[in-house]
Amino acid sequence: MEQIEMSEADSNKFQMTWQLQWSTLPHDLLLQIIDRLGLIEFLSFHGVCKDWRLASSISSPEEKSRDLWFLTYGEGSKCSLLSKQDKIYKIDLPELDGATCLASYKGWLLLFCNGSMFFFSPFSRAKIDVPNCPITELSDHAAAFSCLPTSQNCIIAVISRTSDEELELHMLFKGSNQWSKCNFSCEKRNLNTITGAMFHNGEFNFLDRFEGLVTFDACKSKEWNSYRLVKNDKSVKNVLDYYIQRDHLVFKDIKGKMELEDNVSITTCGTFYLRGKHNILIPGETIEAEEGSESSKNLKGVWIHPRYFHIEPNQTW
Amino acid sequence: MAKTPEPKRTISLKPCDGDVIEVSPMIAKQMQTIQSFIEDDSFIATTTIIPLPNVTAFQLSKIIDYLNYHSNSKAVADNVKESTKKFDEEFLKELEHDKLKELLHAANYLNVKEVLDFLCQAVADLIQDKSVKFVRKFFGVVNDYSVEEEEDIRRTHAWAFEGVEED
Repeated sequence: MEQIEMSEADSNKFQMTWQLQWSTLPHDLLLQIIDRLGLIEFLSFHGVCKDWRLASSISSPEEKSRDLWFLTYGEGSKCSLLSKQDKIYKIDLPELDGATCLASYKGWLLLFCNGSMFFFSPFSRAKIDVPNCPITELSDHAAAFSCLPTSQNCIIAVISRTSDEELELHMLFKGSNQWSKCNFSCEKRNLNTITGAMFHNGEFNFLDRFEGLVTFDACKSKEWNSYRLVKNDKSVKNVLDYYIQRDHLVFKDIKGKMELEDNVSITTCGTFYLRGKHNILIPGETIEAEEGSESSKNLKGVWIHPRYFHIEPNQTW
Repeated sequence: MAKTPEPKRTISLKPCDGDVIEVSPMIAKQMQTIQSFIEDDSFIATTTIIPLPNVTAFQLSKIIDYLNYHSNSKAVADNVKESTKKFDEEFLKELEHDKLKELLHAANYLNVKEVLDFLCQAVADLIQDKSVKFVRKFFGVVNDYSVEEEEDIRRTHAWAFEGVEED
C-alpha cells in the first residue's frame, strides 16, 4: 500500500516538474530556437512572456546569412519595408523623418538629421547618439562604421571631397567625443563621387561608380592607398576579397515589388554583408523617375539586415 | 536498423515508462548525457542499465530512429538528399504539437545535437507567420505581461503583425 502511494507521489512530482519546465523553457533551448527565427517571428517570440523577452534581449544571435530587406523613407515618418519574402510592411518611424541614411551595416543605420548624427535600429527603435557631428550640411558625404555601434571597437568614418584634388576623412572611435580629421590628395579622376563605403580587414574602403577605390588603414598603419579596379586581368596580382553588386535595385526589381509609381525616384544607401561565404558590397545608387512623368516624388532607400537589437535606453556612444 | 553482431556491446537505456531499449555505442555516443554515463568508471556495458527518468519510450525510440536514419545516409547524392527530406517530413508529420515539444525537451535532456538542431528548426518553422497568441498556446506559456505592457509591446511592433494567422 505504502509503495503504491510512493509511486503516485513520485509520478505527481514528475508531472509537476514537466509542466514547470515547459513554461520556463531553459534559456539555452530558447536561444537555439531564437537563432533560427526570422525577424517577424522573433517579434512574436519577444511578446510571449517576460522570461522569453529576457532571453531574446540577452541573446545575440549568430549572424546568419539572411538576405537583405529594403526600407524606403522620405515621406515624413511613413516608411515601407520589403522583406526577403517580398512582403511589404508599412512602418511608422518618426526617427527617419527628415533624416538621411549614411551607412547601413549589420542591422544598424547611421543617420544624419539636421546637423546631428545617430545610430538607429529600426526594428527595436534603439537609438545611439553620436557626439559632435562633423557635418553641418550633406553634400557628397559617404560613411561607414567598422562593427556594431555597441561594440567597444567601433569606428565611424565619414568622407567627403573638399576639392577636385583632395578628400577629407573624419573618424570617431567608440567612447570618444573628439573626431579626428585627415586629408588625402586624390584627384577626382581617380575617385569620383563615392557610392560605396565599408570597413573590411582593418581598412575603410571607398569606391566610386567606376573603377576607383581608395582605402584607409584605420587600425595600424594609418596609410592611404589608391587603386583602379579591373576585371578579369590575370596580370594583376591584387585581387579584391569581396564582391561588388552594382545596380541591385533594378536587379531585384525593387520598384516593381514595392509597387512604386513611375514618377518615383529612389536614392539608396548601400550596405556590406556576408552571403554564404562571400562578402558582398552593395553600393548606393539612384533610380530616376521615368522621363516625362509629372510631379516626381523623391524617396530614399536603404538595404538593411533584418536584425533586432535590444539596448538599454539612453545608451551613449 | 543496423544491429551490432555482438549484443553485449550495446548500451541499455531505461525510459521512464517502458522496457529497456538497447542502442549501439555509435548511437549512444551522439547522446551527450549517455556518453558521460559511459565514460564514468563505474559503468559496465554488460550490466549497467542507464535510467532515463525524463524520457519516455516513445521519445527515446523517435530519437533513435532519427539518429539511425541519418547516420546511415550521410552521403550527399541528390537522391539521398531527397529521401532524407522525405524521412524528416514524415518524422515531423507523426508528431502532434505537444509531442514535438516533449521530444524537443527529451532531446535537450539527452543532449543530442543533431536531433536538437532539427527540432529547433522545426519549431522555428512552425512559428513562422504566427501570432503571439499562437506561440503562447503552442508552448503552453502563460502570459505574465500586464494589459498595459502587452498593449505597449503590441503597439511598438504593430506593423509586423498585420495579417498574421491568429491560430
